Amino acid sequence: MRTHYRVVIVGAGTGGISVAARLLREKHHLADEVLLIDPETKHYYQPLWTLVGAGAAKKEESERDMATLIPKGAKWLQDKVVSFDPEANQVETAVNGTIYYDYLVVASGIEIDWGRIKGLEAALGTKQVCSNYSYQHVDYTWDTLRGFEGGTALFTHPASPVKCGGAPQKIMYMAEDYFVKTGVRDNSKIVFGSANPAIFDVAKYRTALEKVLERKRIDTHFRVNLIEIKADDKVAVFEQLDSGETFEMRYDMIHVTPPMQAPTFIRESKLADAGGWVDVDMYTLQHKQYKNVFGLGDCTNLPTSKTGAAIRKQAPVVAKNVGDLMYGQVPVASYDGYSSCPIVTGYNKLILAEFDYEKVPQESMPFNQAKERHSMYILKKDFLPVMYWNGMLKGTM
Amino acid sequence: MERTPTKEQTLESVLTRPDVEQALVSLVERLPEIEKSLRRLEDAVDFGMATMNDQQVRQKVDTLLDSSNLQVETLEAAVKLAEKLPMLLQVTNQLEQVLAFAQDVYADEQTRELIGQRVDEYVAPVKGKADATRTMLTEIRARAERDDRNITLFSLVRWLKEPSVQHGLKYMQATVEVLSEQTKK
Repeated sequence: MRTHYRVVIVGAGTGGISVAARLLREKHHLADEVLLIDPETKHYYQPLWTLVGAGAAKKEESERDMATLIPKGAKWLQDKVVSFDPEANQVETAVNGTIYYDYLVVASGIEIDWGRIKGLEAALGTKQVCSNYSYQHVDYTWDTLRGFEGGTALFTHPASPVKCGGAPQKIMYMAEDYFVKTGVRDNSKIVFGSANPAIFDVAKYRTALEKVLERKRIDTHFRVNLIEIKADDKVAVFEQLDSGETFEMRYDMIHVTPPMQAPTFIRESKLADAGGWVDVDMYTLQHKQYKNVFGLGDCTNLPTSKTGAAIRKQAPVVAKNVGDLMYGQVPVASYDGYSSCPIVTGYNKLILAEFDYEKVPQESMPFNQAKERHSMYILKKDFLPVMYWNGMLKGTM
Repeated sequence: MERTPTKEQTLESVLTRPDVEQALVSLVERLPEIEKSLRRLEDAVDFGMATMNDQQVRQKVDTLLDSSNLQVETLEAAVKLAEKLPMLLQVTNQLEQVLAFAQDVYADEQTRELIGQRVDEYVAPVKGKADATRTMLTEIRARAERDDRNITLFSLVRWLKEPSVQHGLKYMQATVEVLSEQTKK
């Protein structure tokens, strides 16, 4: 088996495939010199899961075979990376041994730690405990909403970075809209328990979302972190992050956003910073210590929201800088921290938040995107999936 | 101009730096190669000059230029075009990406299926309403054509009791009242 490639990309998710596609579009001579390593056989368009959980889309539309998405000219090694040796330019895989590289791109995504919330793993998908963050269980969110007959509907946001920071509240807004339609809203209470200090980081969208919360009569508890679920008693245990005290809350349904962390093989490697994330320069995305290593996406320590939209802007920067470095040039392409969050606020409304490192709005549309709009909902539901599968993963968007 | 001691010291310190020293050694080692390259360059320049000085070659070039459509305007246009090349490259790249995206969408069966489903979702309610309206109009026309009765005063009185007619008449009445009030003001 071949063991050396010019470019090795760890992770064939959004970031990995986008970079591979862009490199191969720009540098045709790299054909057969780019290796993607990923153990998964399926690739998911996860932004759709909010709509799947709310019954507005089919989950099968979010899944494709990995083999059909590997860019022409790239090789795919279906294996798991277990360790890095950046001094020797090599990665160790679980089955296929050592792979050597000239340039390494780390895009291995984020790991969900279901076990960090006591009682969650056992209860997930049963007893009105649901989560949109699992392909296996996302249907159960819709089952839970449909079966809800009133009482307390609890939605949580953990004390850790998460992929798509808006998703925990999107499903809550959709649920509220659905409860109004089914007539159970008046005899129900909706509660948002979030570890964050406010509903959104960016002032412009925070103001808009606070109005949404008020209109929808949603109770908010900030700086609280879910630490346990007693599913049989339908009780959630929270920790007050500022005082350290714990308190219990009864619920009739709970949607949990689980805690997340960098994958173990990254956390325990020389590529990681103190927090366990790939330690890259926030502008060039080049590793701070190993100059032939780049990182992008959820596994990095970039101080911005972890979203697919962020990766859309990071991928061209990584591809350009890897290409430049290959020819002895200084990598100067720069990422400005752009991220975007299409915040669904109902079955046909959406606030399209776009911002940069400075939390300054970077809006693409010629109108105020903090306003809830039907057009933006259509964009998310119908256009973004096509842009993802046929544009972003092909290196053209 | 005399060098100041500071500059001399700086030069000396630069020359004694290990990386500079190593670079100088490397340069000296490569001198034979560099000398060969320079010689080849010199040969090429000599060849070029000799060619341009050759009367026959110059005549051929002049004939070629005279018989072509090349004019001063052509050269000016070429220069202007060259100036625009960076912008044209950018536009071409964007067009290329749009084309690649469109081709990919067209070739992707799953995406085509998805678009078809979405179009159906949006078209179905409109189509349903259009079908219902068409059915209603057909029914009205059929009944009107079948009906050979004469419309009498009693028929009109019966109509007046119909809720939809009442509703319409109330609107008319309200409109007349409001207009009348506005006119008085």
